[in-house]
Amino acid sequence: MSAVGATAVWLLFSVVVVSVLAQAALYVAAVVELRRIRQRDRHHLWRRMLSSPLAPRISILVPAHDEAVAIGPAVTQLLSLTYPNLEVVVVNDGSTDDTLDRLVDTFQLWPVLPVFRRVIPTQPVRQLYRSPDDPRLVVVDKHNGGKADALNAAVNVASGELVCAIDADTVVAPDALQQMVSPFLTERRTVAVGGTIRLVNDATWQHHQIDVLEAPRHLLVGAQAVEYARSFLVGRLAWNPIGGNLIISGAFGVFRKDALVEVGGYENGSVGEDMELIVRLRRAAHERGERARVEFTPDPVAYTEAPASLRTLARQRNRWFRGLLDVLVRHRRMIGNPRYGSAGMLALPYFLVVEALAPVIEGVGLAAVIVGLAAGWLEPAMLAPLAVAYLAALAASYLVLILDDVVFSTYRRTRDRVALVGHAVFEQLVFRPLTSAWRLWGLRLFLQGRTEWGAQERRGFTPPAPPGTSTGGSL
Amino acid sequence: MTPDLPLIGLGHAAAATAGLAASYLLIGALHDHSRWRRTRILGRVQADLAVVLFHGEDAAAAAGGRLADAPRRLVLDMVQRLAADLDGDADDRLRKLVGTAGLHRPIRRRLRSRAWRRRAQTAALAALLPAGDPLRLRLLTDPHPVVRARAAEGLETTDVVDHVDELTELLDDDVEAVRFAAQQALLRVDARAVPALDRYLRTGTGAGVGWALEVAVNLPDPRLIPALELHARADDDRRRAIAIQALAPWLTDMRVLVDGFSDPSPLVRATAAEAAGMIRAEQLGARVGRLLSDESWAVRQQAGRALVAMGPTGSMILRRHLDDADPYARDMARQVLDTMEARHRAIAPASTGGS
Repeated sequence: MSAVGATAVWLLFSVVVVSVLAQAALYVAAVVELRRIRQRDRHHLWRRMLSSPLAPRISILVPAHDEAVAIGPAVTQLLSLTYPNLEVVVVNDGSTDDTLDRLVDTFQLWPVLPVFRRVIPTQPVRQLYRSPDDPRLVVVDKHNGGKADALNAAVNVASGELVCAIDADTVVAPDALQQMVSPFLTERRTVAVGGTIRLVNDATWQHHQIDVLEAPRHLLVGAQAVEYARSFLVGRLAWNPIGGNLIISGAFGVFRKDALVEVGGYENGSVGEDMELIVRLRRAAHERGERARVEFTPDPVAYTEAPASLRTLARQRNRWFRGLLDVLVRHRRMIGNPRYGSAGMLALPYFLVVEALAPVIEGVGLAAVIVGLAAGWLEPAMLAPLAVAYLAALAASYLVLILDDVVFSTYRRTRDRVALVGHAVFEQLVFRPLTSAWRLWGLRLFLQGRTEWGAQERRGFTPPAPPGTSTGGSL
Repeated sequence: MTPDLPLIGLGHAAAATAGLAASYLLIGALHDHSRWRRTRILGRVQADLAVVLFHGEDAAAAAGGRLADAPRRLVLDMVQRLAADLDGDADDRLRKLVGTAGLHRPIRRRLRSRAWRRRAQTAALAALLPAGDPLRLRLLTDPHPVVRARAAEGLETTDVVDHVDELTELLDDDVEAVRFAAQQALLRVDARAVPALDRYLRTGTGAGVGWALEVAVNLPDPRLIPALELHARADDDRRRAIAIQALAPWLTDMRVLVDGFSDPSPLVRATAAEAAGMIRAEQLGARVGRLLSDESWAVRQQAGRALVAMGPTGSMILRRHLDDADPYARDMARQVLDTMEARHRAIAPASTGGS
């Protein structure tokens, strides 16, 4: 058995080398892209220019299902954004709590005739509400149809040429929309723009805006903070130059409305509706013989609350994984098909191999190690390649934290940085195997055909409020 | 097969990872220090610039000397941020400072750079070069759209006046950012832009026409009326709406507004209602009142606001609609009157006080 063990060790070692090289390539691509974007947007002229009331109109779409805890402060925060030509469309998606009542009371809403062009079919709309004090706000009350359906209803009502889909609990940076609009103005083919999302669990607030962002104290949240930084700063940015971006976070993304309507809006029945939409937008463009640009901007534009309990996190992660599998199955014809450019030849194969098969490979690897050690087939010294793999991943996390510190200075105190060093270790040793297990659970549910979202606990941001439930978001 | 190689790999990997963790902490600390240092120097540069711009000549000379020794990049950054917001004496002093501090050369060098990003970064500073310097306007025809946009955005008002034709041409640029920047530049000019704008509105057919019409709204001038009337009959909803908005201050014949009230586009109907309120067209009060039953909330709301703007006649019409058979017209009339009365109540106590 020792020959088999040695072969396994060398195989794992080779996998580590390939993985480290791939990570290094992604990192270099991300750094180059980051430099390009920072140079392009170094001065604040765009932001000043986009303070004009003639800036493109943006409709912020806020789907809300049982969001009574967070909805009032969230809408107030959105209406306080500095973007000059703004509309906020809140969709009460058949809430069973008092989400609608809170909206009506807080913003003194009046019912108005529900007249709009139903360009995308949705569940019936019961009523539209408007605020006489703030004409930028419109609330749609409709029968429950899920997040995708709620977003489609909001698209129908929206009057902006750009639409911004966010989760009800997302906190948007004051000048985020100015940053997100710039790529639409400079490149006509741009159909969607996403930005970096940060975690907000440990932050101090002032006037509905984040004052100081602290490193999370909770281990699970801390591990997610490191994971988010790696995922956004490298995982997405590196795909920009080769046009392979396939994910715009459901928590905050801006789309060209006509492109969105043209592909029929969000897909009902998909648990990964944000990724599915991007893939469909790219697919449709390629099939028309055009190219659709999906740009990721590295600046932190929005903040969201990370799940702090294992149960909620498990639900979220298995849902994200089911979403990924759903997209890969729906658009399987694109995978490896040169007709779909970099999306078909690079991005989707990457998601298939690295993101979808990863839990299987990692799960099998871990199981083999445990069995091998128990049966005495493996000596502890032979686990070195596995340790190197985890160390390489840990090193990648530290590289990203260094990049984040140099470019964005997200965490400005030494104690926050020390905490993040520890969180990165926890992420590799505990969080990562857990994520693998949750993904395997997601795979099982996907094979059973389960497409529900599952409830997600929210504390609410300002001020901390009692627990509620929500439809949640995605990374 | 021996486990030596993986073990050596493990040792190196562990050392490298620990080194990276330590580097993160060290780089963070160094970065904190450099940020603190930069903030301190920036504070000094800001203070010296304030002295140069707003104090007496003696103090300004000393501060100017200190600025010449300060890091050039920081000074250029600060100058760029200030330049757009200054005028009069302060603007003249800033230009003088740029000359005496030897900043013309680095600005010119950057504007001639082969790297478009460098040109884009410096485009806004082109306005600080002496008048007549060809580089000031060459960037408007730069091959890169971001540079063209930045150049248009950073133009001084005097430059805009001299080059309105070039800017109206930029309204048809392929890239929206350039059109937007050109529009914003045109909005900074007064009636001197009207002849070029009029020519463009009469002959233009491209995407830039909508942008030019928006400039016309903000540049009210009777010379634009014939061109605007042309666009008030355009096929495009948005163009019709903006043309009506731009025509409103000059209307003598109300037919444009009456046609607008029955336009198939809610955007045009709302704009026509708004325009009627803006010019207090009391003779159109009854027609505006009928728009309170419009299927579009935006039209109903604009109609309500227009009636308020018409004064007592409008208020009377609104009260009449409190008994309207259409519940939405009734509600809108109620809303508008309630808001109006609340405002009156808020003002009334203040007016009763005396001294």
